[in-house]
Amino acid sequence: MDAARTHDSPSDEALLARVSGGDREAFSTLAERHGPKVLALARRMLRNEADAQDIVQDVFIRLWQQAGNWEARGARLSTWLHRVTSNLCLNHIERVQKRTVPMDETTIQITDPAPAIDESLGAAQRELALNAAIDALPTRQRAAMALFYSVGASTAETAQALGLSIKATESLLVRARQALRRQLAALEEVST
Amino acid sequence: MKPEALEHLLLRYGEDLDHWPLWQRIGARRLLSRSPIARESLARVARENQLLRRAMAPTQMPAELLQGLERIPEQFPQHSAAPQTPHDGRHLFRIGAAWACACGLSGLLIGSTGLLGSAADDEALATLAFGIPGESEIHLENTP
Repeated sequence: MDAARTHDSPSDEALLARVSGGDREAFSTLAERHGPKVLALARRMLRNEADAQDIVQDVFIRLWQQAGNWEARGARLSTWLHRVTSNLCLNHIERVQKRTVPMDETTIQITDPAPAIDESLGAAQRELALNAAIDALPTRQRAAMALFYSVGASTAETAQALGLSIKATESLLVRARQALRRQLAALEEVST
Repeated sequence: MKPEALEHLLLRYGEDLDHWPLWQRIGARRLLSRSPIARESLARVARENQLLRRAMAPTQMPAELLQGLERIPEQFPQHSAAPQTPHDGRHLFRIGAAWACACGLSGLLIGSTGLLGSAADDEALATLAFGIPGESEIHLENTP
């Protein structure tokens, strides 16, 4: 989950120190550096573009407001950002579920099927179908998958961002991969 | 190691054996060197993970969102609330110390109240704790 930085660009910590002094340019650099991954995580967890963008705004408002009191305590800025993102997304999902008719994950799988797959399934269609299958996973599995594959976090970093043990995170990832493997196998069958 | 075990470990740790725990890595490498089924499992997991990485790769942020983020400093003042970094040992120690102090204080209070307590209190406590009547009650029954 290394911050995307080149040899010449300043580290997250250096930028954060500048942000705490009110440096807007440093804040913009952090937003450009971490924004896409934070957005990818929020998109994957919420499955709604507008809500995901709202969460990204929220995360960066917190970063701006609290930069002055940042104490790393061994944690990376990216881990903090992803943890705040996943917590805000989980809170959002909880709020939405309270407002709407209860719907369990099984129902979502039925009502949110993969796009129609014709016999000559192209790579783009397969990717669409795979994305739909990922979106149909339970929330925490989706979050773990997004952290691992979209953000590029290690299992340990994924666990830290989700506030889970490494074992629990590994189990989440295994269950998600098994579910997706079944979907992929079905796709292979259709395309051959 | 058997091919089924390798399959499970591939799902758990991925196709890059260098990131596996050492003793499992050794077993897996041994199996891979002699089993075509194991090699097929490894290739399959590598293919699946490549697909997943491609499908889940982060895309660029919409320009409006980035502009919105860049306007945050103009719209929100910075304040001094601490960010939610994970708890460390010092934090837990502080909580523990505060808890120990509170327990000690409560103990002192209870102890000092006990010194001034009556015999009736002691009886009630004995009855509560052991389900037996207090000393004075027995004494009364034995009185001629």
